[in-house]
Amino acid sequence: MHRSEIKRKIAGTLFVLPAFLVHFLVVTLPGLTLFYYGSTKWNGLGRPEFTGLSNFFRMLTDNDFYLALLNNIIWTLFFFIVPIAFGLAVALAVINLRRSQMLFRSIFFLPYVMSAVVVGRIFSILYSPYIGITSIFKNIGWEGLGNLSLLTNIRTAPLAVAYADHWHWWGFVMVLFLAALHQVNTDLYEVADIEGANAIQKFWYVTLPSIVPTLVTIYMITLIGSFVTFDYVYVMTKGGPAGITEIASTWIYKKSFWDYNAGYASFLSLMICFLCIGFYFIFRIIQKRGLEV
Amino acid sequence: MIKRFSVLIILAILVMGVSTILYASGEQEEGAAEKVTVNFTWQHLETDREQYWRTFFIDAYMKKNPDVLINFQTVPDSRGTFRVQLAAGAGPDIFTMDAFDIKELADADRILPLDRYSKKYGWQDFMYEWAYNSCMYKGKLYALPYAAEVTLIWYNKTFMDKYGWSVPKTRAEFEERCEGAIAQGLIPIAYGYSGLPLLNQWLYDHYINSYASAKKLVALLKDQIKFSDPDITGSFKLLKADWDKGWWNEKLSGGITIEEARSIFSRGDALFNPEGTWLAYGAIEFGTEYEFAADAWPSMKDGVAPSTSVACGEVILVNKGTKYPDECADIFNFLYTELDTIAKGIGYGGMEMLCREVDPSYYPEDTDPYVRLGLELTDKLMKTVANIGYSPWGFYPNKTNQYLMDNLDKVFLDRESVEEYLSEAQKIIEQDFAEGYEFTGE
Amino acid sequence: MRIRRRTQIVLLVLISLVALVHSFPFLIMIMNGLRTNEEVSRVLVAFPTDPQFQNLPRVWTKGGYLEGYFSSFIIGIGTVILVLFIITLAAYGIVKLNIFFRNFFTAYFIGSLSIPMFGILIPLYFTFSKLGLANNRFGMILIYSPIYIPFNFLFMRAFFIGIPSELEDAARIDGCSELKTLWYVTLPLARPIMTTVALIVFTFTWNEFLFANVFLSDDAIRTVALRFYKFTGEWQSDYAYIYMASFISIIPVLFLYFFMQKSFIEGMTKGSLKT
Repeated sequence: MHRSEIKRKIAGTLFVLPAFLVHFLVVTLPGLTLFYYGSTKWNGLGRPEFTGLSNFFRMLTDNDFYLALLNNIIWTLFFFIVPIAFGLAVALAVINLRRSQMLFRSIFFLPYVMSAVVVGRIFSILYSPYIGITSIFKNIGWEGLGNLSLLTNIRTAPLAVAYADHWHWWGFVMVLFLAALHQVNTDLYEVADIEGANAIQKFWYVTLPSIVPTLVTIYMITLIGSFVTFDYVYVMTKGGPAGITEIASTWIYKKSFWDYNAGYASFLSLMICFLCIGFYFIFRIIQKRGLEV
Repeated sequence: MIKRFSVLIILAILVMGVSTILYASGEQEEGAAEKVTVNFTWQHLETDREQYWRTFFIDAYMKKNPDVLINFQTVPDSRGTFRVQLAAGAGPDIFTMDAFDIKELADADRILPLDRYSKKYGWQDFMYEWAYNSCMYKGKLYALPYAAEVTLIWYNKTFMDKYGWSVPKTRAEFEERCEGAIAQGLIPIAYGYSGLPLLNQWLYDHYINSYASAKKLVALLKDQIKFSDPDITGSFKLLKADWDKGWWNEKLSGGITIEEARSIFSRGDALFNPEGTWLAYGAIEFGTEYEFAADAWPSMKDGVAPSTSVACGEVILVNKGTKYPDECADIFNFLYTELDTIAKGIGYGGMEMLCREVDPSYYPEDTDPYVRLGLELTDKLMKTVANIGYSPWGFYPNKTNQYLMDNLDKVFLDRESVEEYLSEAQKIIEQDFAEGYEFTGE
Repeated sequence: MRIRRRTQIVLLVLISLVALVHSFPFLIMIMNGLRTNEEVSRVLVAFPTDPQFQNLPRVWTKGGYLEGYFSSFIIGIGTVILVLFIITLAAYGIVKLNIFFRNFFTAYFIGSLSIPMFGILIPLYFTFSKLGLANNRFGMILIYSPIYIPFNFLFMRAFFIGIPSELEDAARIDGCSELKTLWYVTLPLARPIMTTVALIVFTFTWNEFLFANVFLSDDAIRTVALRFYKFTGEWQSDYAYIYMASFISIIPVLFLYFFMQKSFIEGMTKGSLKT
């Protein structure tokens, strides 16, 4: 290699170092301690007691943890479908409205700048059986809907909490799609027009392929994010009542801070870490395959 | 370009500079002033209540002891926050938790035993015995009791008078009142625990004492009987049955917060409220539209008397790593002996009743009427109720109580049967016994 | 896609309806913030006929938002500066310079998206506490910066890939060092994405709850998000105040967003997520 090339490489590596160091020291290194704590019995206050793999065996019989993971899966499915559908549909519609595009972009993106604490609290109030949305239904006279208590029904509770996060999130997805749509080569549409394609065919053959990279990245973020999400459930229900909105992160949090089981909680955190890293690698493979195709 | 560069550099320097200043000031300046600084962190208090704390306790102490600076804070989610801080060997000098936390904290060597201060100031002489004992662990005093409370049934007196209902004392009367409430379009019992499953302690506290009786509770906590005992099981089954009837906030308690439930109660949409005397000290806006009062929880079974439980609402603890243990103990002592000022803090609805006898003349003339009610009730019930129980947060073993409070609503939502719930509880209480839990009530 | 005028109008109407429903919680927040607690408890949605403008100053003082704003601004701006600094360098290095272990670093930054934050909470608190950085805005900046690296690295990297390398090559041929190239050539082009990242990071920092709650125990330095949480905590049941507090919590980010919209969107547009 030329001297200048080596110089460049060294310079480049130096450039990357600050970010790497800061991240490694603050995030990864403490993360590595999870390996240690995960193999102990520790009440979070005193000295950890080394217990080897006992936490692993405990996880195998921990039904509540699996129910929590199930909720994570429901969360994932919800976020795979709903915000993507909203975001894409609205992006497709808005891209044709030249003049009002900016306005709508702002309106739909607005919730994204609000904190989870605020959004969660407002939705909690809206979901309240006495002073929330259902009170409007009662006033109109729709008794059935008026008696809904979204957060106590085992079927609706996780979705109700997820919807609050969705309301916050899908504007962002829309903006991403909008950006991707702007990148689409308009010449391709003209060609499609000449070939006599209708709207649906244009979407399928021109639009969709161009936004696939964006779609894949969003899916990856969604998948991983669905397993580490914490704020909304914590603020709105703390996993209750009776664990119907419990997700992995709140369960782990409770084990650590409410139950004095920090060793076990660390182990579970480690498992979730591995899961997410696994998801990441799966997506990398998909992306690589996609490029080849 | 150079301008932009220099602007960025200046900005960066500014930020660094400000951050450094803040870094220095973010921590307590211990060398700066010759003052002793004590970090005193309490659980969340509503802004007005916090003001009374400051005026009549914190500031009053500092006036009397100008060398001591008390850095008083209230934090939400205090339990969680303290645990993380204590785990890292940090945390405030003085903080608060429940009595059932003492074992864990003492075993982890995070709190200071206070016996020599107790001898020095003579605390055992004037504090309530049950309160003092609940702070003992392995023969040492690890905390100071605070907030003498008894559990009650609050009722809307206006409605009770209007419909000619007496305060329920028997199970039959209780059933009548609840059904009567429904007939009048009221919610029988206002209760919500969303986000705070530990509030469920109130529920099983009432039912165990009023159905199985306090004697049986003590036997359970002394490992003489098990959760499978028919009376103990029966009390939970009755609670579940009453829940199914919709008496507990129409089964919606899991979806509403305690503030909402209190709001429902104070605006006259419910007949009863299951909380204790702490409600009288500013936790709720009673308002003037209705009149409210309280009494012991009615008997849930013939042959068992109406019940109330005593407990310390919170206990005050000293961090083992504190630099100023003497000052901390002195602050405690101030709280319990400077009644001129403390009683005002209590009277106006900021602080709570102390675990000691206080001559009523100390309380200010314009004491909030509900505070007065709370103080009188505590006194009266402690002395007259025969079936006095021991509240979970003060006397139950740590793991068992945590399990009971976290999983009760699984029974409510039919995710678990009462038997399954209690058989698991039995396993856990046996662990607690094995780890050295001892009932401190008697 | 060019489409007919009629379809355009239909779309406009539909989207406006969606926008209205979507804004519903936001509108409720503003309207109810100006009503009284009794009104709000009785009827959820109603136009404030007797606007309680004094709710604003009352909630402001009750919630201690002056200090909250100050804290949040310091932490926000500090984090933005630090993050921009290190991410720009890193993205430039990875994309424009053929560094050693390029794939490792890329995978490291993107893959660290998967580390759950609550997992490292205790060990981090442990360390920072011993270093005296726990109850401290500067420590907060140090914690937040790496947390937002993976997410923003994705964007910055995509954007830099989109900048044709001929420009940098030209600068190098002219004899510029890498740093100079970065500064004079790449950065001016990268303004949109930097605005985007700045906005995202500032917003996240402003809104972050979990870590701030554990680390910032001193009342004086607690951030706006924490103050809101405390405000609506166990003993607060004045719903009108809660709505007003919500509004107060988001004003600065709203402003920031409205002013920087154009740059922000540009950044997202040019930095579309190609891999």
